[in-house]
Amino acid sequence: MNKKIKRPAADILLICAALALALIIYLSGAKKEAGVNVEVRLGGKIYAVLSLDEDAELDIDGKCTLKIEGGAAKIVKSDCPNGLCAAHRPISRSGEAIVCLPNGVSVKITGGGADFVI
Amino acid sequence: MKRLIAVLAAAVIFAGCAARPERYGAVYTDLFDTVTEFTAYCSSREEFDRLSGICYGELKRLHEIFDIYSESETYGAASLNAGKEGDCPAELYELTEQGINWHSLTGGRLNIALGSVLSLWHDCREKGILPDPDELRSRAGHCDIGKIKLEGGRVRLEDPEMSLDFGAVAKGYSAQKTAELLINSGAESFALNVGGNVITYGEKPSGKWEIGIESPDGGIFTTVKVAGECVVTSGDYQRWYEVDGVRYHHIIDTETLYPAALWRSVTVITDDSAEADALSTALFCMPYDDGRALAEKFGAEVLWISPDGEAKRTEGFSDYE
Repeated sequence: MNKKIKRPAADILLICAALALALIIYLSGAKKEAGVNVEVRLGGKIYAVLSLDEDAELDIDGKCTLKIEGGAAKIVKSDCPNGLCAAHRPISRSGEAIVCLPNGVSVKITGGGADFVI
Repeated sequence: MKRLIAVLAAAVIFAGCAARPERYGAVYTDLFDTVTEFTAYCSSREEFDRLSGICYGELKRLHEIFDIYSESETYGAASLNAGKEGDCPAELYELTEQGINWHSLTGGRLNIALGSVLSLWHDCREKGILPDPDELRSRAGHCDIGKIKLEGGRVRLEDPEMSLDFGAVAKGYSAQKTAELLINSGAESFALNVGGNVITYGEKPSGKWEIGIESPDGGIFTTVKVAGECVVTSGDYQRWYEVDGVRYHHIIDTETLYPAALWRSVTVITDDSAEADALSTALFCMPYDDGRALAEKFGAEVLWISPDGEAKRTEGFSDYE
């Protein structure tokens, strides 16, 4: 008799536990944005996403060469006529970008921090 | 044990039902001679693609109207400058009307009739040379804003030598129109950056949008947090070319006819992107006191960075930092 009276209380406790667990699962999904990446786009489409922590050199469709070194990204070579992209200083902070308009290439630091840098 | 399984299953179902909007982004490089970035939080990739299609389509339509080098069939600024007659799009009429208004509000610092001077600078930039001073002065004689006539929904230029250039206002105006269309199309949270003209709507799941303001010498000078406001920066480091080791940037002072030299950059925060774009260009060419009075008239918040790296702010600007 006694046990039967306690059942609803136990159910409520379980439902609460389920909701709490749901909240934890939901919130953990939001924490995935860590890690700083270099997003490379060609003609607006994502061409490559590299880690800023890893030194790398990327040939972008034969048009520009991207170099990641010591936690900064820079366009080291470009076949465009004005060369503004290769003259751009290295970028390392979230939201910063280097663009080569003639080639339709953009290189942007993403993940954490600013959404855009203007 | 059965209960435990039930609890776990329920937890997964609850978490799954509350679909968290995810961040999606698109970049367009063939509009307004600059880079456009569209970022939005959407419940699915399909939803984002739908919004991105609307965004690109509207910007492209407006780009063709305001692009003075356009080869499109659409009647726009290029046809107007070439002296052609045709059905004037409502947006061309409206922005010309606003431009005339901006000219009087800024004491001529913002002049959409400066096309003949700007096209000379444009041609010289392409060749990597400096314009001939006499040629500049002679072209400045064809920049009289009073010679633009608005009649019966049409724009007419009374001086055949003059031409309109919407470079200082078209990006902001188009971003504003596009954002309004996106909101009417059901977008709930987005940021649109048309070549440094940022317009935001709603918030991110984690809070306000964060816009970094570039320091003229590299790095980030400050970050502003906005949700619904527009942020625009005009800076001498954004577009330039070099002749004999000297840099010449793209914002031409309407009085000296040479690149304005008062500030390294001017950042404006207001509720309207068209207004923010026009204001940032005008303020870039104005001394502090005049600029401050103009900003106050529009309730705009402003950050000025001077050539020696010193910053001045309107009182409310720091509320966003």
